[in-house]
Amino acid sequence: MNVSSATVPSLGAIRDLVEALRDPELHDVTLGDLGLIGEITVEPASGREGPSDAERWSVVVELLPTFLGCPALDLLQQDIVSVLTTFGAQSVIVPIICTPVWTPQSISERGRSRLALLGVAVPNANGESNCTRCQSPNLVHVVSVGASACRSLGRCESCGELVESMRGPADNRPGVAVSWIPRRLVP
Amino acid sequence: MRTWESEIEFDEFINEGGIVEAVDAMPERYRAEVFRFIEMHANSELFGGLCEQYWVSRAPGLHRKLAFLAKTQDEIGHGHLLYMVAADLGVKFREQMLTDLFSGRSKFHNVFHYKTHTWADQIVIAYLVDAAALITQQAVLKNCSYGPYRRVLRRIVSEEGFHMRHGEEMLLTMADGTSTQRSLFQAALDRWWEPVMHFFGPPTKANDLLLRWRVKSETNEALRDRFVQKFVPMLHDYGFVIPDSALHKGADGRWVIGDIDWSALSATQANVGEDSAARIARSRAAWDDTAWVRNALEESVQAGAQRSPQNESAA
Repeated sequence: MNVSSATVPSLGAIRDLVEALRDPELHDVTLGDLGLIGEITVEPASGREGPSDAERWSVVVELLPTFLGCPALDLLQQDIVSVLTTFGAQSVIVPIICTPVWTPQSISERGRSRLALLGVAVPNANGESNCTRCQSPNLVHVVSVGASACRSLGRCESCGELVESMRGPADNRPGVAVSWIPRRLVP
Repeated sequence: MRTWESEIEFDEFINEGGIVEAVDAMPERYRAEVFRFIEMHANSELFGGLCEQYWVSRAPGLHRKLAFLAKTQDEIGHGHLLYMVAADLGVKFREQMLTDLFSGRSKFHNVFHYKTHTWADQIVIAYLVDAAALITQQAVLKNCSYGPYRRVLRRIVSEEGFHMRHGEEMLLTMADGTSTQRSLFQAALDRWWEPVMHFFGPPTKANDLLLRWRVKSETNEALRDRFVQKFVPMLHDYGFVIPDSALHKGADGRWVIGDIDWSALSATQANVGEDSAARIARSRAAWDDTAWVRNALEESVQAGAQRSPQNESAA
């Protein structure tokens, strides 16, 4: 059986499609921005029905969860399967993988600036974030787990802003507790 | 910090699109109105989370349990954020807001004053109530004059949009299901339609301060109408009957609802609705039962205090 490689789309084209999908919660960032897509492998496929063998291909897209219990994982899988099936894949498999471990460092520059506009900071390798409003480095870690297990909640000591920070699975620093109020705002 | 000489000067600032920050010397009436609005929103997020938490162990199947677990986390997280935004206004500390809530002295949204009889009730909440909340929050987000609230609301609205996907999926399961599933959903819709209509609030008062100061930008009537135009046709498409005998299409093709009986809303506003007492008691129990977690956190904070010189407890 001869499979013409020209009919199987390039890895780059597939990655572009998948990485352009939007996060189901924060629509302004894409899966590529967040660094949630791992290895992609494409293979020619065969089968009895449908298009000729030369047009068949199957694809495996690795998905890196920000944390294993992420409630968006099945929606992400559905979205990836849907976009690649529409693109012509005969089979799409989206395994959720645990190595490499996703960390906030996987977020791209563009992702960082888009998240900042939503009031979500991305910490550096030492776990420190800047305020998304006034850029002050005096961000106090208030609660380890915010509205989602992949975000912690902080307070800017300088301007008082509530800033969420992306949180890696290993980041378990205790916060200073929710009753903490920046000096500037103490009534 | 900005100051205004009079409410008239403040009105001008607001009318020109000004955004008020927590540190500004805002008029006391504005402070009180914004605080009341955000406190009620925070209370409602907390009650929403507790309402969903109840279903974590009861939802059918692992998939739904996971979704409810995640939604609970979201709502409690939203509550966290909003109680902090409210506390920054300096009217009440967070502890005081919770104490007031647990003793029945504060308000929370009317939909949390009713019983959820079956799983279908919870689906109506997840779909129609979340949709109603999303419509009202989007309207606030668009133009709200209080900056800290608006910025937090932006993330909350994104997450509520995500909840809608789950709600819609559950609705489709019921609409596409057996006759028992369909009649369960219809019965729940019969119970919840009026509370959902009430959710948008009573007739807008002529001198509504929230509208005057652009905390809200649209009237209760306009928001309710937006909901009706979107969800009446959708529910009809799924073959459900809306329990409003006066509901009809006007000459302009828009849906017109019948007169609303407000008596049940007044009861919820006084915290004497069908399930108000039980809900308040459950929220107090949830707070008391988790005291050990807060104590453990507090201890770990004390232990780490020397490492974090910024740590200081204002409360």
